[in-house]
Amino acid sequence: MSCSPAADNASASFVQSQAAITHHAAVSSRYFLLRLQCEAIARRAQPGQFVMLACAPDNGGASEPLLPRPLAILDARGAELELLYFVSGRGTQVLRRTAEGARSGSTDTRLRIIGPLGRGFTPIPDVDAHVALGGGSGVAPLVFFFRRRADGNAWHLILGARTADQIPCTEAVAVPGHLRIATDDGSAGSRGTAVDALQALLNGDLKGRRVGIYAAGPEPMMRGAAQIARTLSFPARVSLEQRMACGVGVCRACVVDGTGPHPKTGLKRRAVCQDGPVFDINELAGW
Amino acid sequence: MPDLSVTLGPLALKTPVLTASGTFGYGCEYSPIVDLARLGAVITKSLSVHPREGNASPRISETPAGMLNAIGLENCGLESFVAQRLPELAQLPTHVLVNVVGNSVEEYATICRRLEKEEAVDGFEINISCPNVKYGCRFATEPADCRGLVRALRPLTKKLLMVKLSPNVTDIAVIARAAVEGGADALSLINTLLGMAVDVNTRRPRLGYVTGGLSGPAIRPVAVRCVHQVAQACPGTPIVGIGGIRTVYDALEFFIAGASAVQVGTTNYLDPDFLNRLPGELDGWLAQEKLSSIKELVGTLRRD
Repeated sequence: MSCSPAADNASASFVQSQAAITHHAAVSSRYFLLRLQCEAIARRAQPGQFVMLACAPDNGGASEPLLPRPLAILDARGAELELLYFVSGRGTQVLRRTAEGARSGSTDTRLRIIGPLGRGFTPIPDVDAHVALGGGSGVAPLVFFFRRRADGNAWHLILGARTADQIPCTEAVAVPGHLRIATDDGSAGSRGTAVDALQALLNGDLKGRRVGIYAAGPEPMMRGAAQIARTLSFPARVSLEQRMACGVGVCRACVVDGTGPHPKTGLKRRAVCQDGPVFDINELAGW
Repeated sequence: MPDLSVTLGPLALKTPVLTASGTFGYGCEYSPIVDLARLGAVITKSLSVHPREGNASPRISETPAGMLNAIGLENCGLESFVAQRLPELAQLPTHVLVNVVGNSVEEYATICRRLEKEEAVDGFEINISCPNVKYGCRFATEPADCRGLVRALRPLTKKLLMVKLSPNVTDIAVIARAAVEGGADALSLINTLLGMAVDVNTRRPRLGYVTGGLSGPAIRPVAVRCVHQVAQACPGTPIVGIGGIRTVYDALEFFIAGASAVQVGTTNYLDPDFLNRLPGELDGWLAQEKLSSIKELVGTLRRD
């Protein structure tokens, strides 16, 4: 197709579909795992990408809330897409109700879905080791990233949470490489934040190594990781979250400021949905 | 098969289904999932002479059956538009209308003059009604200013000159008449309703710009009323109805109230496939009603 501004990025081949819910379960006191039947998206999904998912079935155009929600992809296996989410507002509340009320695979509760969207995580080149920090909604994209890309001992994933019961169950976050847990109260893994655990790792096992850093989750965590990367001149990538309406770059709701003019628009604004959600920290103003 | 073609001024459209400015980018973004060939036209995001970065975040807030937005007309500006976007727009299998904004008559004129010679551009939608910028409203609320603007632009183009009206006025019919007197080929309405939402926990406005434009199904009754009033006030001028169209029945309301065509806006965000379905669903409804053309439906509101 000649008309394809999207051809220069990873969002080139998204699809829209209606996906049946095949599985829904709590995987910690906080997280739910949602499995959807959606082969076209599952086949295309790359780590760090997301979908725009309706919170309720269409209901003849009367569904509420009106807008879909951006949700990160946890995994894609065959025709099935896995999402990890927690209830953070009205939309995810309705989604939880929808999913709990759904009979497995029922066509009555199919949800409108668009994806996969955005530029995801790819391995940072020319480093000795990779360390990723995930918390909150940032757990899913990093687990997916590790499952697809991590090979061997040079890969470290640190998941942070307030307490042990918030950490998703082991099966949900099983990844190749090293998995470390950090909790604020020390009820699982090391006591402290994911950023503290990163610092400890860099002072310990990875001392003297050049490390590529990835972060997805709460902004203070990502900023803490970026700060450390800056101090040590390590490359770092973060996955940003913003309120979105469309997910494909047209509504311009989710913009953040970049460091230079956008190659296409000449503006400093970047759309998190289309130019991101994963950015090199050097692309972002104020990081 | 019923005839869906409609005419807006000098422009013949395959179908009466258009995309509302600001909700469809430059047409290409949705091309992986929307069949543009079935659309009457794509209307671009608002274009200004100079690039605009737009407003501070947050730029949207969801509301019951709708959303508030205060994007602030973020766009790349005329020069970049011509260099970067026009070549892509020329490839689209449908008509392209450029939505034009300006702070002065001269700024609107600069864009129309520059794009008049571009074959990829089939017409202009003059946006006099964006609520999210300073001075955004003078041309939308003062009949004399509106008439003067359209009168200044009319000699600059032989292409479709359509004026997009604001509902944030005391009497939309007065402004509509002014635009027609100025020489508008067609009128599109409505733009968003000025609104506001407050986060009670922080006591802050939910939008960075404080106020924003309300769109979505919530505004549809207001839009249908406006189309009805303008159709009464400006017989013979084609109207393009806009406002919360989410189903084929919503679109039909607009045609019956007096619109010759419709624009789909906020629904693109949640259900872009609606644009694929709507032309066929209109076809189906017309056939069922034994109507041979969408034109037979326009303005058929019964008052008996």
